[in-house]
Order: sequence, then C-alpha cells, then structure tokens
Amino acid sequence: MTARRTLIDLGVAAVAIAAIAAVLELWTRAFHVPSYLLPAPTAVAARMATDAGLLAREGGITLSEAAAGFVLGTSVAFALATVMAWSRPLERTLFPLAILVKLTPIVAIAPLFTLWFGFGTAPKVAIAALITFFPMLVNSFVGLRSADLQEVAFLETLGASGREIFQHLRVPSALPYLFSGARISLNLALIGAVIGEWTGADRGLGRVIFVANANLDLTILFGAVLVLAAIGIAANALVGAAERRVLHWHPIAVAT
Amino acid sequence: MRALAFLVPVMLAACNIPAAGPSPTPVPVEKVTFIAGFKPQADLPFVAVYVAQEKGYFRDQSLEVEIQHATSGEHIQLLATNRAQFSTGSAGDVMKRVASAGVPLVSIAQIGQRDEQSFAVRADSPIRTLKDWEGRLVGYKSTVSADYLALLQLGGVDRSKVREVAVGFDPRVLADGRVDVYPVFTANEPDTLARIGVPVRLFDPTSLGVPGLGLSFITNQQMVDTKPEVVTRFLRASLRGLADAIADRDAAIDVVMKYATGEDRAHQRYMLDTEIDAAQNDLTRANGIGAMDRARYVALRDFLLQYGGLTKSVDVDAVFTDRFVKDLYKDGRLAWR
Repeated sequence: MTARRTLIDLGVAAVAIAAIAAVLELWTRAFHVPSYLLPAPTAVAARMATDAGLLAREGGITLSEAAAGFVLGTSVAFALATVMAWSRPLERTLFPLAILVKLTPIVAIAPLFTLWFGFGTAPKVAIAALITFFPMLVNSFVGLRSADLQEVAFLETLGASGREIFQHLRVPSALPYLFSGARISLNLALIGAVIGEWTGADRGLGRVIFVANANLDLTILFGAVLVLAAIGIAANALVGAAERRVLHWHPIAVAT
Repeated sequence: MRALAFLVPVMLAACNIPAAGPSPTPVPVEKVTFIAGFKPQADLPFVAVYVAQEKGYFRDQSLEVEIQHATSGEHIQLLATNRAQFSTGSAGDVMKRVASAGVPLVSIAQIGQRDEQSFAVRADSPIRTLKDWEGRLVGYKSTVSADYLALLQLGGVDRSKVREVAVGFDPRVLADGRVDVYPVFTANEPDTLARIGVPVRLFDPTSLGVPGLGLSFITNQQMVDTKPEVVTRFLRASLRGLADAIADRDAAIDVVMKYATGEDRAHQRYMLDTEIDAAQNDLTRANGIGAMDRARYVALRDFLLQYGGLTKSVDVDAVFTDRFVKDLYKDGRLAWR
C-alpha cells in the first residue's frame, strides 16, 4: 500500500515538473528568451548531462558539509534543549541566546567564519550547524516538554529515576517533534553549506552557483540548483522513511 | 572689454569648466535609468552621475534619470533587457559577458584607465618581489584571474610552488595573516586595511605592464542603435558631473554621502582620489576623461584570451565605441550645449 502510494506521489510530482518544464520550454522558444535571462529546460538538461561529473563531485562536497553541519547543529541543539527542558531558570537564560543566534543574519557574519575557522570545510560546517540549530532546539524542547504529566507522575510513583523517565518517556514523546525538526534542519543545512561556499571556497555547489552567476552562465547555475534540490528531496525522503520506521506506532507515521 | 573676452575662456579652461556651445534646441524629455554596478559609493562613474543629477545637468540635457544600484550583478541583465539604459562595468567584464553569453553590452566611455585590482601584502611582509610569492599562500577572490597569471609569468614565478586559495571578499584575511598575498580592489581595500591598522604594499598589474582597464560607462546595443542622441546627452551630463567632481572633490563627496548613507566620508574620499588618479593618463590628457583607445581594447582582449580570462574571442568593435566620447570633446575639453 505504502509503495503504491509512493509511486503515485512520485508520478504526480513528475507530471507537475514536466508540465512546468514544458511551459518554460515553449516560453523561452516562442519569445526567444536569451539564455543569460532564462535558459530553456532542455538546455539546462543538456548542460547537466555534459557536466554530470562536475555536478556530482561538487554536490557530494556540499552534501558532506551540510551533513556534518546538520549532525553538529542538531546534536548541540538537542543537548541544550534537554538542559532547558530540565530547568526553568536555564530555559529562561538560554532561550534569549538561542533567539539571538536565530536572528543573526547568517549572510552578514558568514565571512567572519573564515577568519575564525580558516579556509577549509570547517567554516561551511559551522554555518550549516548554526543555521540548523534553532529549529531543532525549539522542536526538541517542545517535544521533551510534551510528555504527559500523568505518565510522568505514574513513572515517579513506580520509583523511576529522572534518567529513566527521560529515556523511556520524554525522548519517545519528543520523537515526532525531533523528526519534524530534522526535516526543516536538513534543508537549512544545505542552504548553510551553500552560503559558506559563497563567502570563499574553491569547491561545492555554492561555488558553482557563485561563479555561474558572475559569468551569466545560467544553464550550469540552474543545473546546480536542481542538483541541490534533488539532494534536499532525497534527504527528506530518507528522514521520512526513518520516521515511518521509528514511529510506526504513532499517528504521524500513518499520515506521512 | 577685449581683455575680459580673452580672460574668460582662459579661466574656464584653467578650471576645466566645459566650454559652452550653441543654445540647445528644445527636445522632449527622455526617461532613462542608470543602475550603478554596486552599492552607493565613490566609484568615479557613480560620482559623475550623482553630481550630474545634483546639479541638474541631466535636466539641462532633457533627461529624467532614475538612479538605482545593483546588489549582486543584476545590472547586466537589466541593461540587456533595456529595463535600465546605462550602467557601469569593467572593460574586461564587458568583454567576457559579450563573448561567453552574447549579452548586447557596449562600453561608451572608459573612465578607469588602469586595472581595478592589485595584489596586497602587509607592509611589514618579507615579500618584496613577485618571485617571493613562491612558497606563499596567495588568495583569489572568486576565480583565478588573468592578471594574477600574467604577474606570475612576468615575475618568473613557478605556479606549482604557490599555494592558492579562494578567499572571498573580506580583506581581513590578510590582516589576520591567513594569507600572504590578497587581491584587493585598489580604490578601496588598501584604505580599509589601513584603517584597521594593517598598512599594505601593492603589486599593481598596470604598473608592471599588464594590460588592464577599469570601470566604463556601458549601455546596450539597442540604445546605441536607436537612441544615440540620448546616449550622447547622458554622457555629456555625466562627464560634466565628473569634471565638477575633479574640480571640487569635497563638494563631490558631499553629494556622494547623500547616496552612500552610513558610509565613512574619509574612506569615500580615499576612493574618489584613487579613482581620479586612475582615470587620467596621457590618452585622457590629450582627449579628455573617458577617452577610449582601440589598441588598448585589443591588447586587453588578447591578454584575457592568453590567460583564460576569455574562453573565446570577441570583436572589440562590438564591445566598445568611442564615437560618443569623441563627439563630446573639442580640443580635449568637454563641449557643453
């Protein structure tokens, strides 16, 4: 049933994408739109085929930076959310700082990351981590606090320790929120890695996009954007599959 | 009275004030958009337009000019689609975009007569010659540039011994010692570094014989073909604004600061002074600021082709025209009418 539904979903998405591409193709051909303004989808596809190796290599680099940033950012966020869920005073202290991080324009401070972390992958990972931090923090915090208070009281009457309550009640209760945070954070991590690559990098899809924009080479620019989108969709599908597997008992798994 | 008749033109010439021509025939007002190639600042072509707008020179030329600023290179597409009619771009960039993407751009006045980019080392750096770059970490902003490769060849530098790294657009990486050589926009980044306590020495490609040109006024082919009179009027007013800016730099910075809100005035003055120096050479002294020399465009194209700055050749006559500038100057002085 699930496989059939997935196939139907993919089919609908493919038809929608094909329809949009067809309209764009007709538009660019009918009005002779120059490629430096809007390349025809067939031109983008041809370029992606020609430069498939380049796009795959650079996409792999961006993906690895985003993945590292995602793991780092979400881990720190979960740890901090645990502390905040544990203690009201710490929640009141840390939450404004988290909002400060959230409101900081990443593009404005991205160049500083090169000064702090050097030219390698570290600044890209750090930016990806920073941008994933807040959604996961909020989702983890709300999730950990969402445990039923009567269930908490029941476990306490059974003599369960705080650690046991955390492990067997709070974390399972938080799982739907964690997966929701992960879905948001994964895509943000990709954007963070690309922003990092814009501010000084010699590899990655962000650099491909940056250089293509400077050269008005929109076929490779859109090719890189499509590869980035494909990575995002695949990552989301992966999280969705994990969510359905882990939360098979939860209504959310049935709904997704 | 005769003495006065003699003195007035001499004084006007000494002050670089354009000569007045015959009274203009009234023409319909034309609305055009000038989009500067970057944020508001004292880049000389920007200043020329700011001053011309402030002093009403565009109005005198029956032009209603809307001034916009690009933030991320969108001025080229806006110009190509005639949503903007005038903009700025370096001569090399114009060639690259015409050659690689077929964008119908035309340079109509060459303001910067030198390469915009230099390579900076800290003033206290042991790097004294190009050869000293071997074994050092050398930055490039987005891609390895043709002028960098030319300098390596000029200096007999073994590129395999140079470590290269993409450094982006923040000169603090030089201040911080993360790179040994950093590519700077000569007009502003040396001053930015000096202001944070890091004076620099420059390897200037133009001084070392590398053919390079800076910012030019650009328009699109449609304007050149269908509205050459509008192009002439825009350039005439802008070049008069530029002459005024050179004659009274403090007043010009007053005008710049109306656009460049929040910028540092002294830094803008540094930029203006540097760009005025870069706008003048023997060619402009003989023919006026903005003068264009086909031989220099050919040399620039050949140089870019040699060092990979252009992937294919381009007809220089398609990317620049000096007909407007030539018409505007009489005996090296701007004719105002």
